[in-house]
Amino acid sequence: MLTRRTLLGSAAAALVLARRAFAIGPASKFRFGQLQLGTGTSWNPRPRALERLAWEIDKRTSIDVDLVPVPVAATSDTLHETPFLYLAGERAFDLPSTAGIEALRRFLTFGGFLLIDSAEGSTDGAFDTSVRKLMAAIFPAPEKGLEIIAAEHVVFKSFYLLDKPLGRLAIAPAMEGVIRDDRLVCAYVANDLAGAWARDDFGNYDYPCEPGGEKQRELAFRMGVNLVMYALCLDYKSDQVHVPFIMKRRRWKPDDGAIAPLKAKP
Amino acid sequence: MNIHLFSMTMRWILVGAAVVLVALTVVGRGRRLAPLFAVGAVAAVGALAGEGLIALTVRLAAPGQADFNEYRWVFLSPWGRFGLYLGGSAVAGIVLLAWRASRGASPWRRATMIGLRGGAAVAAMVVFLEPAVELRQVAREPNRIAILIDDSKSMSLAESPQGPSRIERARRLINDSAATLTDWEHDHKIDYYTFSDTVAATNPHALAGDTAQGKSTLIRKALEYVRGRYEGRDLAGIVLISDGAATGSFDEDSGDGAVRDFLRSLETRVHTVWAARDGLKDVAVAKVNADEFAFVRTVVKIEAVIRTTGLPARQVPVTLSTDGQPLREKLVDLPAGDNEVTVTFEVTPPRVGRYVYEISVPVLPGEAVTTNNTRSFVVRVIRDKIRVLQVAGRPSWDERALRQMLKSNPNVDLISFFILRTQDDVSLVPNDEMSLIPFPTRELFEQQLPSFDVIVLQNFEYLPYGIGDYLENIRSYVEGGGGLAMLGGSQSFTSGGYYGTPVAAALPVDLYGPFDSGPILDTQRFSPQLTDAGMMHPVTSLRYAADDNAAAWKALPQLEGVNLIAGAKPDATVLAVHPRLKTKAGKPMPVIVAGEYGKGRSLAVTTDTVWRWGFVAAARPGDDGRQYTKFWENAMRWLIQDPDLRNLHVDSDAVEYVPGAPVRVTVRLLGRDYQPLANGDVSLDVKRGADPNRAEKVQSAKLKTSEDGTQVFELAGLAPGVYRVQAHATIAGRQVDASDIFLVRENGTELDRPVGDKATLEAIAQATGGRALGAIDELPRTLQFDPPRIVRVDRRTDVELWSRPGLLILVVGLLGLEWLLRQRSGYL
Repeated sequence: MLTRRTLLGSAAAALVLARRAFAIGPASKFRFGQLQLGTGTSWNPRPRALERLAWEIDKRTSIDVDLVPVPVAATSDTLHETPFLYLAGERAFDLPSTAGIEALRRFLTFGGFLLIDSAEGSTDGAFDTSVRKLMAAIFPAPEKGLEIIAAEHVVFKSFYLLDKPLGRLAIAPAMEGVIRDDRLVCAYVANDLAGAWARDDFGNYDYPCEPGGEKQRELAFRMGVNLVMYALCLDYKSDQVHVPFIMKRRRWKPDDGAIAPLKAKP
Repeated sequence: MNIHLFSMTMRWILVGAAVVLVALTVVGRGRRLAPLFAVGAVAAVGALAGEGLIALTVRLAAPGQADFNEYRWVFLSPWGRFGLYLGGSAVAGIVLLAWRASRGASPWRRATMIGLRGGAAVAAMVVFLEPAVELRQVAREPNRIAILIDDSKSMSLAESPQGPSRIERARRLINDSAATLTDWEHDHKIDYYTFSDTVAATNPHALAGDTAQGKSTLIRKALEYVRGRYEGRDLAGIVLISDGAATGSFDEDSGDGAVRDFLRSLETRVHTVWAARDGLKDVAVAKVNADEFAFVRTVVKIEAVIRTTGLPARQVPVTLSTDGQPLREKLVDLPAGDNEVTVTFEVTPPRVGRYVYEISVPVLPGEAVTTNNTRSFVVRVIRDKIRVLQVAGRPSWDERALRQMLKSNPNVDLISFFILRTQDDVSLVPNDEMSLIPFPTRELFEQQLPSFDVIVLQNFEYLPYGIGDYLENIRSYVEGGGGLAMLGGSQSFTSGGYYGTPVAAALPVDLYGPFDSGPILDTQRFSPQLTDAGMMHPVTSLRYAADDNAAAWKALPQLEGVNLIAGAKPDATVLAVHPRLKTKAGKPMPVIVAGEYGKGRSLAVTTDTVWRWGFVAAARPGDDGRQYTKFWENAMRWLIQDPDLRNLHVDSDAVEYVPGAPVRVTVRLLGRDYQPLANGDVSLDVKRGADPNRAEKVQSAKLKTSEDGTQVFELAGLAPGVYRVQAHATIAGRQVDASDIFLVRENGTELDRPVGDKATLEAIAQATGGRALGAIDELPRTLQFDPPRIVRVDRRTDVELWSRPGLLILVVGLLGLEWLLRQRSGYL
């Protein structure tokens, strides 16, 4: 029989003597997968950005993060090892093969998340055109493709409270995305998120943020955190609204004014 | 054969009235009322004279009247009742005119004149109405009086310990009324019956040995029986001797109007005698209102009506119990006298199944009935939705996959709480720019904990969140029937600081302590291997067939990293182990372990990469990652002890029985694949007793299942009480158990309301034209019964009064005398 004394003693012992561990294995950690689409290194226009964002996530949240992103091809066997994929670019890219399209479709359908970040500084440039072609190929009509993600979507409040997806630039007023089964499976931001995140080895940011400066950069980091948090928690934040109702729906505690008498010994 | 207009009493009244009125007339001479007294005296004498005249007329007209034994009046004129009223009005008018016309005369002269004119008017009316006397010689047979004596169990009660019981009172009434009964037997025959739930013929001698043990008081059925028994026969009336404590209500299911119609349909008088007396002392659980069905882990309301009778005001504890253990108790103020108090309890059934609850009040000194101080009832507890609390120490793919899977299940109410930021994390942002909420530890782990069916602690370290004080709540929650799953991760098991905590006691695994050397985590990839138990356990049965299941497990993507544990607890079931790692005892390192703790269950999964069975598996064409969903669905059903997961089922055909009723118990045995298992051996134990620890075995049996995997076992002659049927079988070397519970009720509701009910008896008497005699010690002789019917008429003759020659002479004579008197008095 556990007594309060035992309980407190054990808790104290656990507090002092608990054997801490900081990782159980790579698969436990959050790690960006960087989708390789396009020629050469065009898929990686901001080489240090993801690492920087991962570092910020590690510092700001409880997420256990692997800082180093993993480049992965659409047809790679390891595509599903990193359920969060990041696709960036500043020029047009060729669509993956049919197998690659099918792999991406499976990836997004069965729970993966794709963040597309345009670094070309335009909302109707060549990269944008390629992105739309890609999404149309993955989710051909009559399935719904990219659509405007409203500012009320949970992705804007999954950790920080935000109202728009600011990056290095603020040329796109809204985030676009693909929603399937009430889940945002793909987010497309044309404001060059990674441009705001990228930092050199000396600690200087690679690009200035326009027009909002450092405040805008902070909001870009917050957007990055929110996107990762959404991928890991889904609609957890919007669900909190319903918690009091769900709690009350099942009333377990008797409120009859009676006492619970001591039970008889067998 | 004498013809009577008046009874002897009436005659004496008339004679007395005449004498008094004469005296008043003499004394009051000269006063205003004197003529009225004189007229009254003349009328009284006239009425007696008229009766004598009629008798004389009949005697002269029918010399052989001594042969007749009955007469009746008939009117030969066609005027009928209208003529009678008309004639009567005319006579009254004539008398009034005579009164008016004789003003000023002396009282006696005036009364004589009025009397002569009234007499003439009556004589004339006789001519007008043409009355006749029909003399008959008839034969009659005595008809029946049915005396119904209540011998239900409530009649065995005595209002005071020293006083007679109600049945004794009824016996004494019969004995002390011997003279009355003998008198009744001149014209009637008396049939004696006892009634309770049935009606039986009896006699005063047999009544002496009647101890009144009837199971119910069905007054209406008894009266219906009498009506049927005497259908077409001559029933003089019914005497009903009872305490009036009818089982249920006399007008139950029929309403007042229907009861009245029924009582009138008896077409006989029912005289009632109340065998009870005031002063009975009793406190009873008169009624329990509870839904037959309730939802698990949800408050169910139970209302009990406590009835107190004849006791002074006092406070008594009212207790709600189950399994012989008190659950809730209330002190209730019972007012003095006869009153009812409603007590409301709320109780939360922890598991699906049948529950026998009992409401009880203590037995008070002097109580007439003690068996109604408790009342048992059955509640069937079913599940609405599975309520799961998912607490995750940090966002991860494992947490995400489980949340997504549970959220997509419409049968699950999921409440998730994730730690998104710890004290170690940097926060340069004001709180109002973040969507974070405080972790509601007290609400979750104290106030709401018992409302959950399953708690999932997923890579959750308790210490930073002040949950240490609530770990005992979690342990006691599992012990009380809850489900707990702990999933691995860097903040779980030993590295979560759970060693030595109450939660560790509820887990199916032993943890490494702070002084144990060696690693506590392994980060290598591995494929868990099913143990023999895991091959057939509901949690790890991804497919029905064993080979398919093994293949399914082999095809699962590898996991990555495990929490190292000291080993599985001795009574736990290891379902899957690490292929390479060993415990310090040299056994394979458990990865998935299931165990029972108290009435609840717990599951340990020592990795946080089970998500790979879903999402990583879905990378392969043709694989949709369903095995992940299947695994967790299995785990959830096992944790909530879903009855459908059992291989052995035992069910009685009802939840409540009356004493002695046959009870059919069906056992159903399913194989590992959940298909019916034929020729399986099932042993059955039947125990009696609310407290499972003290229940006494009353029967046992060995059964062999038929082709459809079922077998029926019949129990008979069970005494009142709570019964538990426990079944045991062995499937593929594993023992499976099942149990069921049912209730054999106490003897009906006869003693639920033991106090005598005088009002019911009064209502019966009133509706049938009988007399409610109340609490009497002897039956009155004057009780009115229907006379025996005429069996046959042997002779008859009519004597016509109106056609007698003397009648005309009488009319003329009276009028002549009145005329003469008026002339001499100066009124002409």
